[in-house]
Amino acid sequence: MDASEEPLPPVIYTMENKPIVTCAGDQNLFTSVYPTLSQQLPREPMEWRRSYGRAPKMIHLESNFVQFKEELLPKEGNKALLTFPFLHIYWTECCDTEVYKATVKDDLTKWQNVLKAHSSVDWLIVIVENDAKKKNKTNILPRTSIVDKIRNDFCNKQSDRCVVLSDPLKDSSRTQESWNAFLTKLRTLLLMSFTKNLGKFEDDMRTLREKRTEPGWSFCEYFMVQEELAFVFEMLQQFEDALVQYDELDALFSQYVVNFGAGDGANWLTFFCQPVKSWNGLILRKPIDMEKRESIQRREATLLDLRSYLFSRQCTLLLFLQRPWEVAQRALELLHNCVQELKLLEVSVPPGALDCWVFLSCLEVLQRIEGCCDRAQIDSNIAHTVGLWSYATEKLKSLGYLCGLVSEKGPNSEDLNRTVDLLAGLGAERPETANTAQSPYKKLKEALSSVEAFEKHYLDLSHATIEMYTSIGRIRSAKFVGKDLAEFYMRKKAPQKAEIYLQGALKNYLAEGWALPITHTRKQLAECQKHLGQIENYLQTSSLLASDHHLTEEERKHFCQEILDFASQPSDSPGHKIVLPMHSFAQLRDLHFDPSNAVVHVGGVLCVEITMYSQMPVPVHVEQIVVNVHFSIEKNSYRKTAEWLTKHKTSNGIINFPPETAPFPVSQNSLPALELYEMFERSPSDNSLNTTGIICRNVHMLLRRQESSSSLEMPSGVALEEGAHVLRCSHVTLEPGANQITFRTQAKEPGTYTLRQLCASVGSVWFVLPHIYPIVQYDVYSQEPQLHVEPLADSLLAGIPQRVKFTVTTGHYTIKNGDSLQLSNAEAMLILCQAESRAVVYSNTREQSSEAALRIQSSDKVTSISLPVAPAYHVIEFELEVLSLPSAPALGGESDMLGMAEPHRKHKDKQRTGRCMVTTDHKVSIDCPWSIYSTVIALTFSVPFRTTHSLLSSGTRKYVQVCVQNLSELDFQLSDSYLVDTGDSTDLQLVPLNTQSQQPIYSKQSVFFVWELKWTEEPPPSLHCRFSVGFSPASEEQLSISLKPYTYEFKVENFFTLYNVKAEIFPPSGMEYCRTGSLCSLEVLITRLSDLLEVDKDEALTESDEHFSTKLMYEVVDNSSNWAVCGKSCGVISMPVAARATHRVHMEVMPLFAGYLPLPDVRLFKYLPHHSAHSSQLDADSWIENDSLSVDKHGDDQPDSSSLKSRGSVHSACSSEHKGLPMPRLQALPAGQVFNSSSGTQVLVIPSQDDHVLEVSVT
Amino acid sequence: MESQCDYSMYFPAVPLPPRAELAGDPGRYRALPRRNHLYLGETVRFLLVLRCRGGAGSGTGGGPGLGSRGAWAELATALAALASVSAGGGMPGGGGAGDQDSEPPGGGDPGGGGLFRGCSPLLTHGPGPATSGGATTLPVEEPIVSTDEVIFPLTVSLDRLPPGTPKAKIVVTVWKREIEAPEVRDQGYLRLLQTRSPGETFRGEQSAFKAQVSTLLTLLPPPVLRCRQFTVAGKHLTVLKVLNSSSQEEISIWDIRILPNFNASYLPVMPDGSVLLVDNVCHQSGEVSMGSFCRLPGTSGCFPCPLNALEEHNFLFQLRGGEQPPPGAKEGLEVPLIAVVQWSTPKLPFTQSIYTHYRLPSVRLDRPCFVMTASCKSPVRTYERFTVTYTLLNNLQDFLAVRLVWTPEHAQAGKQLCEEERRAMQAALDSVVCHTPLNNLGFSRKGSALTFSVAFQALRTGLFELSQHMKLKLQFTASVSHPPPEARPLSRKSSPSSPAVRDLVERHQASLGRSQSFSHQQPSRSHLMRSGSVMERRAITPPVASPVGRPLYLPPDKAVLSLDKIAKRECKVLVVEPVK
Repeated sequence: MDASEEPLPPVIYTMENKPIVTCAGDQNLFTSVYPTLSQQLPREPMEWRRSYGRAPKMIHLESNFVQFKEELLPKEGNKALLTFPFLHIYWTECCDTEVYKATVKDDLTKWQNVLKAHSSVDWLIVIVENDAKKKNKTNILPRTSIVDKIRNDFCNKQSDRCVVLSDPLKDSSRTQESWNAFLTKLRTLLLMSFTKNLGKFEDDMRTLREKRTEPGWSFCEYFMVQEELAFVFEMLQQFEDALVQYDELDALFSQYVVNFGAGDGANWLTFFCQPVKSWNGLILRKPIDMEKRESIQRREATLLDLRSYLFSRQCTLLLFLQRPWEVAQRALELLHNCVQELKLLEVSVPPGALDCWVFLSCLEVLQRIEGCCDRAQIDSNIAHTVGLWSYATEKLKSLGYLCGLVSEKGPNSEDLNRTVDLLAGLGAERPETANTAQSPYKKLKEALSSVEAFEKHYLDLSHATIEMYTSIGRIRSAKFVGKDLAEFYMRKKAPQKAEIYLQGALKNYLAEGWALPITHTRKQLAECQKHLGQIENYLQTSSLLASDHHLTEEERKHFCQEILDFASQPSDSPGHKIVLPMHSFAQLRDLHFDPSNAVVHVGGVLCVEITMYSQMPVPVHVEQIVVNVHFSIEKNSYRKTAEWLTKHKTSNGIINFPPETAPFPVSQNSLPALELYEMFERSPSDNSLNTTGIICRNVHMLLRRQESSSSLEMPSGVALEEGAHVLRCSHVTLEPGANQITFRTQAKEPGTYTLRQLCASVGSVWFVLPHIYPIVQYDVYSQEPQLHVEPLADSLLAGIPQRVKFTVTTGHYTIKNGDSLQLSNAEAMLILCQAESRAVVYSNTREQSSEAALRIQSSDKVTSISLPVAPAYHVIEFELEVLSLPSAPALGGESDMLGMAEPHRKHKDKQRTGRCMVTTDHKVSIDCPWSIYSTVIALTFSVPFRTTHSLLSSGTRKYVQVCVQNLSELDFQLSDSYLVDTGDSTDLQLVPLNTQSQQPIYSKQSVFFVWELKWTEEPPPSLHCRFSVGFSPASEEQLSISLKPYTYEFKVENFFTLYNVKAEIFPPSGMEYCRTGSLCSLEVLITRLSDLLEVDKDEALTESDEHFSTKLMYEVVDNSSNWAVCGKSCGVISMPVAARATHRVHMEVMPLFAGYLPLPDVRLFKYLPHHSAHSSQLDADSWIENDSLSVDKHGDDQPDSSSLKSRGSVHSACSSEHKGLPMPRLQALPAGQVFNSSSGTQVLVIPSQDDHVLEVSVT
Repeated sequence: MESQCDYSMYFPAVPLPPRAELAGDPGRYRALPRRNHLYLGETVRFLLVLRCRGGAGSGTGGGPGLGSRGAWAELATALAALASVSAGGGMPGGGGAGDQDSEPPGGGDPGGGGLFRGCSPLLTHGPGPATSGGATTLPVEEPIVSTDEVIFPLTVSLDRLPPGTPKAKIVVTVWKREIEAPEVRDQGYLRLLQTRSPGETFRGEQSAFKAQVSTLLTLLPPPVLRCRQFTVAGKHLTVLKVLNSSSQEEISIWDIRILPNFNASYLPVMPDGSVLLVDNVCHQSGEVSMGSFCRLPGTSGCFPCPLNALEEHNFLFQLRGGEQPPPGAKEGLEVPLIAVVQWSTPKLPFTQSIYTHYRLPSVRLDRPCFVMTASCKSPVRTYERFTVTYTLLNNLQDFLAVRLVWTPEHAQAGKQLCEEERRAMQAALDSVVCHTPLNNLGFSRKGSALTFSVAFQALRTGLFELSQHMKLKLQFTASVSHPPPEARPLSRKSSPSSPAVRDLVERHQASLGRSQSFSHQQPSRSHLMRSGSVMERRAITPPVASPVGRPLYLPPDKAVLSLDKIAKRECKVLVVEPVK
């Protein structure tokens, strides 16, 4: 649309044609206005509304004004549009009626009749008014009358078909106005005509197209029709629409070809199947290749002709549309398409002819594009053109091969003949290019002229293509061209040049994981390496190819045989090894240890069974398979113990190796996803945003250098380890597929053995697996002999025989005849010898190997247990019975000596955790034959009983109660209970009140024993007692040994009753019963029962006049809130220390509930004065020397104020930090010293009537 | 000048010797026993002794200021001293007005600690205005001037210190009395300040003798008071326990009282002098008057009551309230209470006694309008027939009919009781047989009292409650002037024969003679609950709905009886074995 306004590149050939407008009438008049008209018409664009919903377009109209002739009018059936007159204009400047009537009217009538005869309705009458002329004529009619007359005469109902142009040659505003109106009219009418006529044409064209299935329909005919439309659009500068027409034709034709391939042949298509005789390529340097067009019109065009013409038209239009890159893209499609279409249509093509055509076409397109673009544009659009370059290179290569230009010897005569034939098909060079030095024609001719010229052109093209591909990042394509180059060089017997390209391509394919190209390139590379004599590389490539499943069995066998052949060659330098990586040869699948825990003791045999999956297509005899083992002495000696190792190894012992993924390393898309984060950096001062950005957290992962794939191919990376420790297996034939190979070794030094490398040798070729991963280790241990002693039950009970299990782990020591364990006897623990004890010997794997009787000899100090003979790394087990003394430990006097009972309480606070049994540790020293040191074993025995005692009083009579609680799970039988006074008070008598001599004590239950204390004289201040009771398990039959009784020692102090407290409650006077809510009186009688005793001598005791008295505090407490106590509920009394001294306290109590109420408790305390030592200074009446005074003087500006302040204790801290003063202390009297004679008594309280109305609630 | 004097304070533990004696023998004060602690609330007399250093008596080696005997003598006669006291030594330990709920520290209440509540002291003061007139104006004595000493007998009252103050800081300011300058006398300071520069006016003052002496002394708190309030047999009782927990000396309790605290719940005085009241508190004498709490007389209640260190004394008070409310009394108001303890120790040389005020828990008085009481002879013997007399005091409204229904089985319905409780209750129910379980008492007019006797028989011994299970059924006329609001649209919509209208009519009929029954209502006396005894079980029974049928709608508030106006008093009977 805007094409006319934009300066087109000069090489673009514009369409010469313009829509035709005829002019009739006054030719001179027209000639005079023509310059203005042709200049003004295209100036303003007009909107062209399109049919069929096509978008409206703005269009600049131009016209070719020709003189009206009847011949110009199209005859019936003429479809030409280019020459179609779209508008007919009649020009007149008649202003005289007479003249009009005389000539003009007739002329007009004739003109109109001609138009009518051709049914042309697009016409216009222009009346030009000229003032100058008017002036000359005096008798002229008013202008309007002429116009009216003409309108009346000719413009039947179409008055707008007659326009007036006033003074067209003047430069006045009226003229301008008149011109504008006229031009608008003209444009409108033109567009109307276009719309109408083009619409009609299109309809006709469609009709024609719909007839395409009819026999006799000709594509070429239709082609011409639609091209006519395209031309018109081109003429109207609607290049897009024009291109659409060609594209439709292209698509229609392609569809026919495809249908033909599918068996649906059209008759007209057969013509296009004629053999190709000319292959001179596309011609793009002319806007219209009239030669080809005519051949189409004549229906003589070949397929290549049609395609060439069609594409040249498309190319021209695309260049008009400034889309040169689309040209390149379409060209590549076209070229490939044509080749395919020729095949589809089974057109016979001489060999090489298409290659020539394609080559020439590629270069033509490239040159055409280069001709209309500058260098920079081309360089930045390589991506569009490189395909053509590559195609041209490919075609030149095949031409070279065809013409024998790619061989060592050069072309033979047959090749030369072929060359001549090909050149003949090119015909003569076109005149357009004849003068250019680098025309495609010349290039091809030169390239085919000699080997050297071909090589030059081919290499030029190849390198350029590779360079272009590389520059736009199409590495794979570049490598592909490189591979062709390599092939070329191989043909030229220059393998050293070829290798670079092959390696490059292979590296690329490996990195990206293209399996088939890898195989193919490797095959090429193998050949190259063979030629170059790179033996190791060749062998490795061969091994890779031999294991490559993309190859045929035969090929694989061939490469395998290559290796075997080489291996079987007698090496010129013996000992020379060729080391190759293992993975292509065979793969390690899994590994299995026997014993499965991979732990073996020194001297033991270890089997390692590996599964190797041979990749070779044939069985391969391997001289030896070696596993290099790295030995390390385990520093952590604890690991050496069999137990640890057994525990910490995998149980099944099978280690699976992941299948090799070497050929396909990590591809691009398996990289981790980008981890992007926003980042804000703020100014530390005012927190304003300084910078912001995005950071990638895993840059290190993404930008990691891709592992060089060459290392996968290069054997240089494989180093053969030489180690002292190897596992070896000789003369193995590896069948294709899985093979089991077993290594056998005897463990020597203890430590950890790590399998490092796996090597398989075939002659002088060594296949090496450099690292075995995951890490495979086996451990060899040497174990010291060990003795374990553990109880069979959860805990050992003291006092009754208990079974203890001895476990001897022999380790590296062999138990000889006569070896024995020497147990030093503990005093408090007996080892009971039983004749029938047997020891069992187990192997290292817990299989019983033998059994023998145990001989035990016991002397005073030592018990000797002779061990059965057992080899190294075996286990001996036997059981013994032990007996610990049952007594609860005496408090204090603990001993750390060996063999002595070592009592301790597991919990200090025994009362709180009463469920816990007291335990005793017995340490036994055992001398073992394998060591000069003694082993000390500690056995913990739990005392099954817990014993508590309590002192009970009844007035002055005293009773001792012992409670034995069975904490164990067993039931026992108790017998023969005794309580003896271990002190030396002869006066004291313990009278048992227990009736039964034998008593069962069940698990978790208690039994009580009571004795009465009796004395005649003054009772001792304290009492040391020992309680003992025999016991035996209730369930078992008679035991062979006599068991020691259980003893319990305790001490009772201050047990003599000093005070008797008696409380009584009396109902109010005159009442029979106490009543709720009424005050009753409470009398408390405190009576001293003895004279001064030793226990009375404490701080509270005062002496005056030989009379002693002590201070007591009583407290009346009603814990269950039955009573409200009134009066002095807590008071101090001074109690004379004399027998029968009585103190009486009176209070009032109010019962709060009815029923039989227990009396409130009366408690008695010793009332001790406060610690005078601490409080002497604070004593109320003591003299205080150091009155703390602080002196302040008002007015700090006094010169001597500082000295004043420094004097004395200014602001001295008060000495007493605590609040208040120390108070007397209360000390509870021991339970035995106070007897509450009224405890347990109850008072009957009867309810009172409750008839109150007022309710009082406390808030 | 000030720095040339030594200052000593003497706090004598005995009454001061006569002034003449001190003047005659100036050193005598040193021989007086001294005190090192004071009681909050007492009035302290003490001596400040100012001694001229550097041998004022020698008259030769004196400094420039007090160098000569003449200068000293002149100064000594011109000196004056004034004592003041402030809280010192850290914050008051506890017992400020803010933390009234905190238990007084120390002296873990031995026995029944949970029953008694601590009462924080509010205020402590010395002899009130009644005992010694003009306590606020402490006497100012003239100093005793001797050759090298000046003795100031000073007095300070410790009753302004906040309760819980651990230390008292006693400050004495000594200054030289000067004759006022003539221009001050003539014109006054205000005028002088207006006309002259201040420096000129006070320059003379700066050089005058002025010193401030202070000392810190331990303050002993008043006795600890705890209280326990409970209701037994219809009497509201309060036990006050006075504990001497901080004084080694024997203290004497002279009097103890419980008074309503009409000063409580006043907010602090506003800047304009007005005082705001907190609403729900009684500020009038109302039902609880100054004499409402009577100390129960008893042998143990004679004053003075001595308390040695750590001794406790319990005092029992009973709230005496008239059964009839005084005219215009408001019910349901909280009455804040205080306890006033008047006490002394023999070591208070100048103070007769100290009054300490304690905050007691408030009480709330309610007077139900309908009360059922029951009485019976107790104890009774098993199998013996006994009668229980139920008395119904109705001040609530007229009732069409009153019925008493013995429904022991309802007591445990719908309650989650533990197994032991359930068994005990069942045993109690099985043990008492009511001879006439259903009793019709007829109508009851407001203001009347009904008395009815019901015969019972007990089958086993124990203590049984006979009021709780005696259900009270009251039939009364509900007001029909306010039909249920939701009924009106119903009737308008429906035809006369529609079920909705029938329903409405039935409802009307039902509301004509509604009855409600009331179970024994237990006053909330959680502090009086016994634990661990099966002799008595209390069950709080919620009001049980009418057996006639639940009302179909919730009637307006006016028509229903407010249940808190109805109360039942418990009646217990003790059943004992028959005499063999």
